[in-house]
Amino acid sequence: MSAWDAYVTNMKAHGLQICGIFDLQGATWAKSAEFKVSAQEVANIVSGINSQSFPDGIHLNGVKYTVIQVSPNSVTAKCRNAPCDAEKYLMHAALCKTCVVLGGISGATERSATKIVEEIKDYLVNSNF
Amino acid sequence: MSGGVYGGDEVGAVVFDIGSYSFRAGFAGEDTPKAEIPTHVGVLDDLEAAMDTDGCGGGLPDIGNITKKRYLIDTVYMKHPVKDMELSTFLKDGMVDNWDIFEKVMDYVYSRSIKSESNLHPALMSEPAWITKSKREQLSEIMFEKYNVPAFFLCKNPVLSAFANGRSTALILDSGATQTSAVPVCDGYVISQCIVKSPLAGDFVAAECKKLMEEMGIEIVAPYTIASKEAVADGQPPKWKKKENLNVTKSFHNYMVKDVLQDFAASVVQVSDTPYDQGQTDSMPTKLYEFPHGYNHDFGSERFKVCEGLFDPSFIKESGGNSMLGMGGVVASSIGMCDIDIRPSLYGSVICVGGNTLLEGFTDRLNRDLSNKTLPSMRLKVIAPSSSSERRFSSWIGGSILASLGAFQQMWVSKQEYEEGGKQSVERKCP
Repeated sequence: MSAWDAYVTNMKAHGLQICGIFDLQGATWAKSAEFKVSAQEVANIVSGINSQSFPDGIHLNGVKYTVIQVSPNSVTAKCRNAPCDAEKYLMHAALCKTCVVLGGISGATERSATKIVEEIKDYLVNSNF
Repeated sequence: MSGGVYGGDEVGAVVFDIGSYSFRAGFAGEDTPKAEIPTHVGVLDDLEAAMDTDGCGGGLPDIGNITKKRYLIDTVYMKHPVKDMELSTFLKDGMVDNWDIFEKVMDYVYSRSIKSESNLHPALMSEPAWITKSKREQLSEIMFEKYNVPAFFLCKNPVLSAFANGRSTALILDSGATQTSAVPVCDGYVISQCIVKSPLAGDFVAAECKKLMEEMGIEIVAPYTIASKEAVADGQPPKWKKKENLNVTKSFHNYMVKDVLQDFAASVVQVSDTPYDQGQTDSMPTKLYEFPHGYNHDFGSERFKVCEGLFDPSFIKESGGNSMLGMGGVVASSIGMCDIDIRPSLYGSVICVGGNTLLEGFTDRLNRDLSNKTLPSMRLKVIAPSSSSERRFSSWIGGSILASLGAFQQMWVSKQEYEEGGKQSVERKCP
């Protein structure tokens, strides 16, 4: 799995605070150390994007995220009730053919999260993932 | 590929706010826009330019190339009657539709209102909450390629209106000229799945006024046709003379008539506190209105009937009225589509913005309608800024506030980022 870890290092270098690449059922390919999420939660995100609706919202590690925007291949959600301010991430999830990229930032630069995750997704799609 | 910090305190950003009634532009940090230009422009065929171009030589002429058009922008130029001048708007559904006219208006704004070169100021532009990806990309392309702005940012209207009222979570009820929309904003982000739109807005009120005039047999005479008039007593037939040799297009005439109706709506029309009741409105005081051609009349319960359709669509006589939502319904359904956790905070800050909300009695009636629709335990607060300029320009003011914040300076999309990332960089970075 070490090849994928390089991706995580790359994503963190671009500014993402929590990031990870998972397959469509939620199994982890690589993720950053602070990112706590269960496979079921990731699978829910994937099925939500595919059906374009999130009846229960999005949960990461049990924390509720409010869905802001749903596009054909991605979703953006914001956390409002985290234990501390530093964990109130703006999370973006983008779907590739065989995997899903998740990334989030909290704080002043949080809006860059969408851009960085989309760029990683573009690169993966071009490499046939 | 880092975000980079752009600018500092010295460089003034320009803020543009495009609405279906007018286009607002000015500098960030100020409290009102420098320019408010109607989004209708006069379009004339430029015959001199057409004579200069050579013929196509056989085949069908390409109309787009041969007939050049001249555009008359801004109140002073477009409200003056000119032969063969059509009045048309470059917006459709709140989004830019005709990019040629849009560029001409931008050129005009930069040279006459901003009075500066476009490449010296970062530009913040507002957009409707339902804008599409392709329009945003095209807009970013024009701003960076044609106007060479050093930095650019797009922000949705409801978010800016919320900031202008000091909140980052609110439900924005924007009732403007062409449509009314209820958009929930959460922590500065629009929740795009819960937007509810309705066509019952300023233009609807103007159309109802027109029907009322036709029923009462009052002719709407636009001021540009009047050569002279005399004062007449209340209710007496008007005495006025028409100007000779006027030759204008239908679109121009309709626009000027609508102007009179909008003035009538603003001065006389009132929203009743309770659902329309003939007996109650008959006991309310009447208002006198003098038309441009001298006729004056006291309006009583008609002035309440005209706008009742905004709150109670079943009141509208034509079919289809029952399927539309009134103001209270629009707000309630938008909040109803949202996550249950944020509903209390949305009900606790319902912000009314937009020119149509300036109708007398609008906010009181909205308050009453909403409290009927919500549970008694829900804390409801309707916020409506008191001054008219704060309501009409709320998204511009929000943009002015946002662009002058220190924390915002790192959020701009700089020209370098655009060149590296392409036109999607704006679309992606501005949620």
